[in-house]
Amino acid sequence: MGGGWLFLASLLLLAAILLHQGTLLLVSLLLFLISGISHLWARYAMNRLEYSRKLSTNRAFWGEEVNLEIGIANRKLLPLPWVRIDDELDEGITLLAGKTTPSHKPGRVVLRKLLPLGWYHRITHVYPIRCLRRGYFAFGPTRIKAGDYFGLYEREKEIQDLSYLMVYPRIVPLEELGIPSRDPFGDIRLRSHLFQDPVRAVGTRDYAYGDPLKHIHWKTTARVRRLQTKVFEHTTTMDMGLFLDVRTLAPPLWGEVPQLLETAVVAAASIASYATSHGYRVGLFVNQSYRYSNRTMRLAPSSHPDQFMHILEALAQVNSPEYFSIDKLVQREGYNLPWVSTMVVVTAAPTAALISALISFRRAGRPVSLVRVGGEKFTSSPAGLTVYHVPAEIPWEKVESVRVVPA
Amino acid sequence: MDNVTPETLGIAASQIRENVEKVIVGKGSVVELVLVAAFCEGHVLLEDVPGIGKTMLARTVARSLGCTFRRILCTRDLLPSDITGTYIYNQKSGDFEFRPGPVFTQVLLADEINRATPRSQSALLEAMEERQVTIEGDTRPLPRPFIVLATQNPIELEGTFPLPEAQVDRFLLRIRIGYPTVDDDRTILQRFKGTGLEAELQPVTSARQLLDLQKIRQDVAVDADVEKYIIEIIHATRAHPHVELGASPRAMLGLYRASQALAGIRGRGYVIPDEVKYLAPFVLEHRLILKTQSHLRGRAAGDVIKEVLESVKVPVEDVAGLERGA
Amino acid sequence: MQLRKLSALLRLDNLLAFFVVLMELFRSYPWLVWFSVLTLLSRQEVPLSLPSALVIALVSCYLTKGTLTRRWSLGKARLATLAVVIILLLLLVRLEHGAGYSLWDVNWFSTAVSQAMSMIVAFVFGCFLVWRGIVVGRENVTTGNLFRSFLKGVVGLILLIFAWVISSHIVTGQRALTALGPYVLGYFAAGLLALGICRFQSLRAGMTEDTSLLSRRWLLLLLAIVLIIVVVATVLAGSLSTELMAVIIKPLNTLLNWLFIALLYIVGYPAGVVATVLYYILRFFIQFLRNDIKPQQSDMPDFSDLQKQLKNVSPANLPENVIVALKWTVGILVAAALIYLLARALFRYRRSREDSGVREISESLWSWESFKSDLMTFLKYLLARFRKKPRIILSPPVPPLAAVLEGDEQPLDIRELYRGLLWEGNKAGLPKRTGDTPYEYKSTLEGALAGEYGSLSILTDAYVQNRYGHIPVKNEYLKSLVQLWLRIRALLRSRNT
Repeated sequence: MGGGWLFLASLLLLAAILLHQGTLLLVSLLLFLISGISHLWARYAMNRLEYSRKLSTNRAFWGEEVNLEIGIANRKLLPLPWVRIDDELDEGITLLAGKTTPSHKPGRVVLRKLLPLGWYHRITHVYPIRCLRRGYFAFGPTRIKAGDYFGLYEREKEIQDLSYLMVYPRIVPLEELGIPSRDPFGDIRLRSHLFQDPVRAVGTRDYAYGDPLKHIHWKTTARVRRLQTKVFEHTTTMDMGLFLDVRTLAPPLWGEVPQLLETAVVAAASIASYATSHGYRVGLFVNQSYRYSNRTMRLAPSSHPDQFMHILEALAQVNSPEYFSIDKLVQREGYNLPWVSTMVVVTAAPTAALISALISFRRAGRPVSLVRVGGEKFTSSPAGLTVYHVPAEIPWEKVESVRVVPA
Repeated sequence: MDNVTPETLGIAASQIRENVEKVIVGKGSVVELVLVAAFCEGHVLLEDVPGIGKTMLARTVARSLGCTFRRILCTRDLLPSDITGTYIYNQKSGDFEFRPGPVFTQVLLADEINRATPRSQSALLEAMEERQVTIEGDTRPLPRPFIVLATQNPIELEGTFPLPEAQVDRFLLRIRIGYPTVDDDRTILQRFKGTGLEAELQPVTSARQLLDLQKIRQDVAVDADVEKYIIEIIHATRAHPHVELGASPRAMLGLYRASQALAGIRGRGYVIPDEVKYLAPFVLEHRLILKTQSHLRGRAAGDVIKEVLESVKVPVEDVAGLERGA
Repeated sequence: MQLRKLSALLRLDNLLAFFVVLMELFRSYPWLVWFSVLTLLSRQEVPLSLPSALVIALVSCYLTKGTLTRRWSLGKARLATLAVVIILLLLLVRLEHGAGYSLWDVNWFSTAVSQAMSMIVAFVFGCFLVWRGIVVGRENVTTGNLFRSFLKGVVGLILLIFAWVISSHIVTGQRALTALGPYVLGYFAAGLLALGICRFQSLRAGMTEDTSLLSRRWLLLLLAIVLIIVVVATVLAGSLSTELMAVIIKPLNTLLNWLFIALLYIVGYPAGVVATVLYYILRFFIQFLRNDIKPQQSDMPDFSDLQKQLKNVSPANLPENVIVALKWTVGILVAAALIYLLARALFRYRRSREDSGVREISESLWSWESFKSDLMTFLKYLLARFRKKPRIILSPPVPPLAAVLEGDEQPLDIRELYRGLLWEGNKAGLPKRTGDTPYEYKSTLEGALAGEYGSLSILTDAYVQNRYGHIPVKNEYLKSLVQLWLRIRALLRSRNT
């Protein structure tokens, strides 16, 4: 189209010169000017046009508000009559302001903005987002279009950079534990003190036969002229293996009940939070793999300060299909756990095989708890297994606390 | 040593290797890497499952090198003084006597280092870095050469204290031994029907000679273009989009020295790019810290190193026309 | 909110229709002018004046739009529209051909016969305008359609110019530039404005947000761009013809005069009244304070006198220096307004507003440094374009010596031999990858050239020793290497063929 204009204008200019016609000259000048001005925009519209996308945080908890800042800056003398910015978002993102339109890609929507941009001008839009779904959300890519006033030229560019937001699942307090004097997942008072913490010497005592040489406090010995042994603070390591079953329908049925899955995830996150705050070293085992890699969701119990964050990251990415059955996972990982570890299994569809596996661990002396989500309560605890029931009648997003009711 | 040249390294290395392979079956490349560390006086992190022969490898290498050997089994109750030593009160003399810890040795095997508490780990790592220990204000140098072979089990995370990234950087090489092949397993069964094979092993060199070999290693020539190649690799790890923290200058020096050692072991008096490329994963992989998103998406440091090595240009002849894509 | 949006949309829609009608008018009216210049009519004037033609076209357009908006039946809409516009057309034709007779004077019919031809032409043209007005009012204007229509109009105007030039040799009349120039300018102005508004509407379609701010900015800037185009073209073309400038300036002058009169009535008269009243109040208080309080009847202001004076004011009656002073005042006010707007745009600012929950932060990034830097860059770019650029002739790549070596008589450096290997390997479809070392490349070549393990190893070993170890190759050995190379080269070339 641009070439056509110029060609016509050139022809007219030639005719005007040959025929000495001012009107033809006027027409050709007008055509040249229109084409030239439009070409100016076509050539330079995208130059020095800067786009930025920023999230106020990359990690948030369910229910929190995050701000998405989208900015466009025109760092040149040429104003842009219009700039259209299409940002791709995950459809699970809840924008509190601004409207989105469906995208041709499944699971994605487009946030479209049309605005003029003057010379040396920057416009930033801040969109509040409410995190109403857990997950790992990608923002982008972005397509930017700009052009002239008359629709003769348009230029487009795509920005492939992505931003990510990790929304952790809901964490709610556990209440109604049944028997207040006991810890819900095992009696701490009955645990043996496994280790004396060698870095926490709290005093000395007289040497007793059999005390290791390395525990002798030599300076005190020299002072009192009697062998003195260091006294250490006792440390108990409490490990918990938290198993989450993503299956929500009892076999042979296949499918997903989102309400049950979400409640199970909320329950698992809440239990992990409770256990971590009470000094447990929590590990997480889920019967599926991470979304973008083939790694099984497996986090061994650890006292690393980031362990709880890793657990929440894993739970944020839990989705429906199971890769293998929960009873096999429990059997495989249960043997790897330290002997005194507590095993807590959260499931919406307990199978006979799972119950059997848990019973065998219980009989071997392990503290084992089963947390059933939804469904009917067990009328009795099978073979002395500690069973809890989390009712799933209330929609998971409205759950204020997890009512863990003993069976 | 008389009439020493860089090629001397190759002769010595092959003698040591032959000796070690009397006991260690099918791990020629691992032995070679351990020798690289020995000639650089660098420390090695052996990461693999139990029962692979890590302890035996360390002991055999130490014995072949003619160096003193001590072993520490890292447990939760290991104290820093258990590693460095401590002053004990002698009631008879009425004075404190220094009892050196196992760190006062030339080859130290720290088994399952990730089981020791962070405080004990720090004590060992400080000794590794400074080659001296300070106890009650007294500084005592460690014997030379001083090489630490630390092992850790990557699978067992329970009850472990993973080494922080800053500490892992102190290890020159991280080596995964791997399972033996079928033929190697057969040889192992044949060879180890009896016992005492290790005890019969004789040293082929001495600590003094090892120090000389380390000096000779410094004479291995590195062409300016190969130096540039090393620098480009280091910089590429820092600029990689999936990397949060790339290789440090310590890593660069480590790669440089290790390349010299490997060239010498292979009987050459100069470094070629193949050696740099071969050693890069062992020297650099454990030092890279990936971005969280990359980690969540299943990317590993090994993938990054592979991409870096494929993208950095190896110094060869420039041919006009090939650059222009002709 | 919905009503406001709807009303905004409708206004823009009406604005678009207005400019499209203007476009239609400016491309068809010149044909009427040309027709009348050919003196085929008894009168020398154009049968239908431009304002009347505009009224007819606009009425038919908006009437059509209005009836369609109200969802009248097609028959009813047609009847209503045609009835109204035809009556209007007849009325306008009668008024324009009045010949001094009043509207109800039946004696006019006696002179009507002499103007029959002119009236018929006016009526026919009017019907044409009615049709075009209805079409515009009925159709949904899209960018594509409008663009095609615009181009057709341009072609039509060009044909008219040629027709005018040809006919100017037959009959004398106005020059084409002065006669057609204003219509060409009007056509382009209206057409560009219509295109701009239509483009904006198409962009805005599908946007669910309020874009009223964008509308205002768009329209203002569009108007500015179109004015710039028209003014620049006029000035450049007008340099060839002062008559064109005179023709264009004349209506502008009239418009300016009307503005002055309006200014006088709206501002001058009330200001004069207020000033007079204040004067008398002040005089009263001063006299009161001086104890001289006997207001005289004659002291009251005589507004009737002022009013009479103002009524007699007309541009022609005003003294010339007053006109000049007023013109300068208006000019200064306009310039001041422009400078203010420019300054607002230029100087740094940061505004924040909230619109339906989305916070918008608008900030200026202006700085004189960046402007100067951009200007310098642009000037350098222009200068570079005008400078004579040396022609860069891309010669075909020169193969290395090893690739063109004929025999083993010529001793070549090992590095040269390796260059040859890289060259020939590349040509044979086995290029060395960036990250491949010489030994890795050797493995690649060995895989492709079965049986040449020995030769390639020897060559590569020699190269590696020389390249990285700086170990020179002995001359006698070099000769055998050359022979090895020739064999390898032949194999690579045979693979290539």
